[in-house]
Amino acid sequence: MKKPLRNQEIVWRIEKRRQSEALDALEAGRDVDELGTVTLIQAGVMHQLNLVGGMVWERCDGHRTVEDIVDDLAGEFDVERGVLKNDVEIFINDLLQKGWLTDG
Amino acid sequence: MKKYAKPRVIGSSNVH
Repeated sequence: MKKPLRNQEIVWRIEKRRQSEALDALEAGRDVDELGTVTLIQAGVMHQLNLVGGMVWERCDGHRTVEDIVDDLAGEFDVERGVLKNDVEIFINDLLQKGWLTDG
Repeated sequence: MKKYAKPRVIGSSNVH
């Protein structure tokens, strides 16, 4: 079972203001798919993750399995667990390929 | 429960 871990060379932070904007927008029923809430800097290039991406990233501490992360988020969002698990696995695999995560 | 959107990377740009 994978326990994804963030690459230690990546500088990142949660943009608290953006994250709270995203949460407010969700409360208002708006879509926050495009709103960046976590900034990553890797090899001089800046990237952003959207709300759910950032929540997955935060939880990639090398101790939690993908299942643990899915369980955590399934309680927060209105989504079928199977759909969420599939999306999270695709996202994590993408980041593993980019080298942003390692399999801890 | 919050409305769900897929986790993804949005936008990448050079810092310098």
